[in-house]
Amino acid sequence: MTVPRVLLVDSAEGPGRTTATLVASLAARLSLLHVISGADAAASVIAGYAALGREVSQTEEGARLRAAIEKGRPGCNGEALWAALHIGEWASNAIPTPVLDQLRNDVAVLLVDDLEPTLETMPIPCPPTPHGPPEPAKVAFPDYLLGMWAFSLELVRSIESLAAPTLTSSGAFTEAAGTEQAGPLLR
Amino acid sequence: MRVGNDPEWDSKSPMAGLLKLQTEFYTRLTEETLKYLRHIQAASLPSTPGTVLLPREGLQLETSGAPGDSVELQLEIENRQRVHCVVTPMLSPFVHASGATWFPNAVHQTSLLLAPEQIDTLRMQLPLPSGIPEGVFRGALLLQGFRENAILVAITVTHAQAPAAVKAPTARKPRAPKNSRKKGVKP
Repeated sequence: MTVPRVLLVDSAEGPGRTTATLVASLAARLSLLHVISGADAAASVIAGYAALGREVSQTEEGARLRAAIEKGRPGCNGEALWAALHIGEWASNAIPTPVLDQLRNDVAVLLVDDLEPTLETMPIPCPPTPHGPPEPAKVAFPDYLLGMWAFSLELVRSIESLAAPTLTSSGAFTEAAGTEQAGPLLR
Repeated sequence: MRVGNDPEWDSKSPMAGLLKLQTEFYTRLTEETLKYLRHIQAASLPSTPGTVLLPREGLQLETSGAPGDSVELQLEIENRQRVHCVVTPMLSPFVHASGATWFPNAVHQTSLLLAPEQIDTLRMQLPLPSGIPEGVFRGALLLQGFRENAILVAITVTHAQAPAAVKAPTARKPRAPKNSRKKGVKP
């Protein structure tokens, strides 16, 4: 039985995923925070979660979750807050942050084996975004909530995957550390 | 200058046309200014290295089973990047030719963390509900965050008495160009 295969490759539009480009991207993100306002940063992140939420809404789990949110009181209250505080209008004008790509890149940089030599070559220039901004899209409350959910799930799973190789099993006990522990006080 | 607010004044007064033109001009000016500022903002953003999914042309996962049984989908994923990559599979709702929609309660790995050059197999178990209509349900397997290139999935529900057979997922042959097709011969 042959199982079909798909490949994961670097995006042709931007720089490839290497240790240097991941470190450069992280450094550029941090340095950008010094030159933009908190409102701009928050709006971009909210727009990024909403963009992810719109994508997740197309899936079976996401569609069910979105429908449930919209039907219940949290959906009504969220929409009311969204409208009264003009969060949607504010975030809709912002350029969405690629939150999932950034999370995956940050996870990957924790696992590379050539980080130290790369850090010695800092600062590494980070090229600007090769394409223009995406078309403005309305940032709706359910999209934002769904994006936060998808992002959080992936964050938890990623941290668990990072820890998995060296994680001790729950309920395990460790042996006493040899004869040094023995003494009159420990009888 | 007197400005009326009744519809008749709008159509008769020569000033009404001028006011309308001015209003439209300023609205357009605001929109274009915002668009320009958005482009300026995007040009200053650092690029984020990303991943794209590269499926074989015409790839479609196919399986079949009887109501009440479980069918399995398998897909191999190879990471051709130089750093680790997280893959989060999700299924779209499945649609029948009659318009019936099935939200499968799939059991699968939540996320895969793939090292460079690593190949892993994604397995998804889909229990078919007992009341599901016979026929082909079409949907897609989405690898969250990789945007385009969802993988098409076709699940055939048969009411055969024999136990559900799990067919090997097959790759659909790409369509031949129209010119090369012969009359009466299936492509």
